[in-house]
Amino acid sequence: MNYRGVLYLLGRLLIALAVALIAPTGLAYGLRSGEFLAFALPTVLAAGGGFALQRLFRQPTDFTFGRREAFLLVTAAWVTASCVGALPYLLVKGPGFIVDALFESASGFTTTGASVLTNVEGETPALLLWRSLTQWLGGMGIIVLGIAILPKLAIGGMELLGAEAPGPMQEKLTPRIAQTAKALWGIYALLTGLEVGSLILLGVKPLEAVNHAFATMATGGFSTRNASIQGFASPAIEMVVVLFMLLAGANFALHFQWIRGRPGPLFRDSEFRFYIGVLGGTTLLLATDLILRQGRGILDALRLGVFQSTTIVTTTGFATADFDLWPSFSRVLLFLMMFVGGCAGSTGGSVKVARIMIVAKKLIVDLRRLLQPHAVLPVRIGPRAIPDEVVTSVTTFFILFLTLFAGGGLLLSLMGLDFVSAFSASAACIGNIGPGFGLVGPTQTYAPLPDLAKLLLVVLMIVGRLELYTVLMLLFLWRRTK
Amino acid sequence: MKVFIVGAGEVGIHIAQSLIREGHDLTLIERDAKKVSQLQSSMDVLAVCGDGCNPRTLRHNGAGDADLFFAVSDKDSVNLLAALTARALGAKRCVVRVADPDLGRNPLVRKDEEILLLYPEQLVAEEIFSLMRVPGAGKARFFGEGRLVLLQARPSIMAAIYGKPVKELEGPANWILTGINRAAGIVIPRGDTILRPGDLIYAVGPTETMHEYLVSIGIEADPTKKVVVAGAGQVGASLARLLVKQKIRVVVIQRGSSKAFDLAADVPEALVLRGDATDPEMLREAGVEEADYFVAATQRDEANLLSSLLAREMGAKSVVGLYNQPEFLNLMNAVKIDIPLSPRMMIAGHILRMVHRREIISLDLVAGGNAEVVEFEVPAKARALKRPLSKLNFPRASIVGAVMRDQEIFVPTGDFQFEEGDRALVFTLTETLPELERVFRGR
Repeated sequence: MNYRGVLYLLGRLLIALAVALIAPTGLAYGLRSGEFLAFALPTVLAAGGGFALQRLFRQPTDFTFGRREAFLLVTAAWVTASCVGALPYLLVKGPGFIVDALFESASGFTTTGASVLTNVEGETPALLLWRSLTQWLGGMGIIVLGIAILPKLAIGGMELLGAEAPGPMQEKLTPRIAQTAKALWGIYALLTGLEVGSLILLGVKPLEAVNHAFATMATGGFSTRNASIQGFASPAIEMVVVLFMLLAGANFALHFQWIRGRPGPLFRDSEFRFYIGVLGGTTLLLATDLILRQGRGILDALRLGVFQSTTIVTTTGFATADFDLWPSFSRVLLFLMMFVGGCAGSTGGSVKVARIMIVAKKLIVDLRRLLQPHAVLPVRIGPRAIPDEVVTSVTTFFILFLTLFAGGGLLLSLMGLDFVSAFSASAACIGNIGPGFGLVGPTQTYAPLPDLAKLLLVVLMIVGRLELYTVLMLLFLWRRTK
Repeated sequence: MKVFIVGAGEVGIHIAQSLIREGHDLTLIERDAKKVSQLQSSMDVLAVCGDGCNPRTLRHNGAGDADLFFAVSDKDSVNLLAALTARALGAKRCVVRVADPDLGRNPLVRKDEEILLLYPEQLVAEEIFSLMRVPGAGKARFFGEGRLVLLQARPSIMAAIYGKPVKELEGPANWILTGINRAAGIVIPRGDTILRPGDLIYAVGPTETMHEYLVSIGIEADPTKKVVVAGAGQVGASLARLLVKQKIRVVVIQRGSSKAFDLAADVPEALVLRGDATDPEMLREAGVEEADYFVAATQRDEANLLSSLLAREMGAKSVVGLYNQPEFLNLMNAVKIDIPLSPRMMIAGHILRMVHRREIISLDLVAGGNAEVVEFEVPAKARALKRPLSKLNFPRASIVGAVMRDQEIFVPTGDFQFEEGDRALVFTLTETLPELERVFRGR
């Protein structure tokens, strides 16, 4: 195990975090809001730590980096970022906030959007900027992880998920990870910029526009309003956010194509079509339920339906309604949609659309096999037949996801949460969504939960964000090297 | 003639045997030293152990002087490279065996008119397919990757086609009557020719409307609805692909799991079963009792014989059995397998046709050699390009059945204008062939 190499790269990560911290530091300085030191100190610490690690564990330019190192690095990167990101919260809020600071930071970097801040509107602009920025940075990490790194590690079928989408790699334009990453980050930044622009045009204050664009493109869901997007009370803003959530939940390799003038792959991609189908279907069902059970007007119901279905399916976690007060069917439907998640290669979390498709088709295929026990029935996604090993690994992933979700819910109930809160909190965190139901509903926060529960949810967020295996693998890794 | 063969597999050896009989001078190159020494002792050839792509080996053994160079090993890339190398060294004409049609589209190969491609497995599959496509009376031969068909059939005496001039006959679009075989000989029909009961006709048209055409001449046999194929090798897979395109239900039985998966992945419309085709239980699961055809196309003759027998006993309407060792023909006949077929013989037949003519890609079938069907590819600067068909002085004893241009099929009328690269399917009396060749020859 090349620990030195891992530490060296973590040093780079620290330097990147220091660079990112300059933004809120500058903002705090510019606004003279008094918490300048709370940002300056972590910036200096991160930069110092980063340079020290780089110096101490200097690597030759062609140093070897294997699968084990990759697993360790990925997990270590998110843990490190979460810890460093917690420092500003800690310094602003005081030592009693330590668990909450970690929770808020991890929720940011995993693009979850679960919050412990009970009055967001009372926080300073610098802290809110940092809060959104953690999500945006987390999203950047996820894009590279999903398109460039996880496929190589072949986790949970990731080597084939989204492979139908002609990514930048097949273009032969950007064959190396670094270049692929840059191309995708360019698109990520471009879409973020577009959203900032659209929101400003609709009258949102620039800083709030940036905050929300960061949180949207990362499918994070941190808002600067206590009532989330509902706080703007503007259908136009809602629709812009819906559009960008939808884009953030789609495969970035496909965005790469249409931005370069080739919309074909986007509409041919079977995962994207299924994703749109799920969003459309959920919207219609929610709207119908709201019309019939709550007597809302058609437009009103559609507006609420499309926002809530998009925010949950893409795992963003904004809200324009307290859907916890909705009829039972709508709530159950939204809860189930928490397990769908974004497309492979998006910033969305949870199981992922492609995996849901594969598991569903596997079910059908196995039923057919009862009639013809010797039939060879490949699971198909679009025109492609998925090899059996991949189907198995996807199915295992799905089962593992549900097991961890159930285990998390069980432990939370042990810590005193009620049935609905325990399971929805577990699902909302492992799926990187944010709001759940009951105690952690869309108008509530995670603040009242016991510290132990918050720590457990931090673990679930990171495990869920890193496709389960990346983290769980470390247990085996550790045992073997021992 | 000096003939050079790369690859002493089944196809290579069969070609060698046929050509030795015609008295040609043969050199065989094969990698496997054991096979080489065996050949050396059993056949009158110069067998060389070596790599068929190695320019030094080729030059050293005189591939440059070859009149005919066969690259027929079981590796496409080896064959293509060997042929290209041989051409560069000076071989006059090459025949290349290719399994993957995509590789056959190599631009270097397409550019070179003296390199002829041969798709043996595809040919065998097409041959079997053509047997199934024409129920009852007729025979069929397919052209242009199976999109065009030449049909030989005897219209029903009840059909409403007699006594009227040919040009007034009704039927599906793009079908053209190209020849009539009567006791008096072959007639090339004109618009005012009248059909008589008992005529044997030749017609050309698109494959997808063949059934409608047969109906229009009063032939209404049950079309093939279900086929069970044992073996998902090249032949079985190609056959399955051809059949599903015609909406015929296909069940393929294959032993190994990787080939079975590949076929299932590639041809979603076919049902692929994993198992042994000589197991009655397996054949029952495949529903062989309701199959119109059972095709035994595994690699092993014994398995083919046994599964054919079982399938027939279980109720398959017709059984096609493939065999490679000649002794099996007798066995298959002895147990009354409906259609015993030897892929090797078919391939050899095709190759020998290629040896004797060029440009003429396939010719066959018609009436004891009095007439032929010839597929011409129109080269640059051919006379045919100069003016419309009616002004070409086209030989009267020939008729253009159809023209394929890219993916399109035309039935040419008088004002039709040929373009370079068109492939014309021409029905002609054999005696007119030289005259016809002048029309289609590049200058």
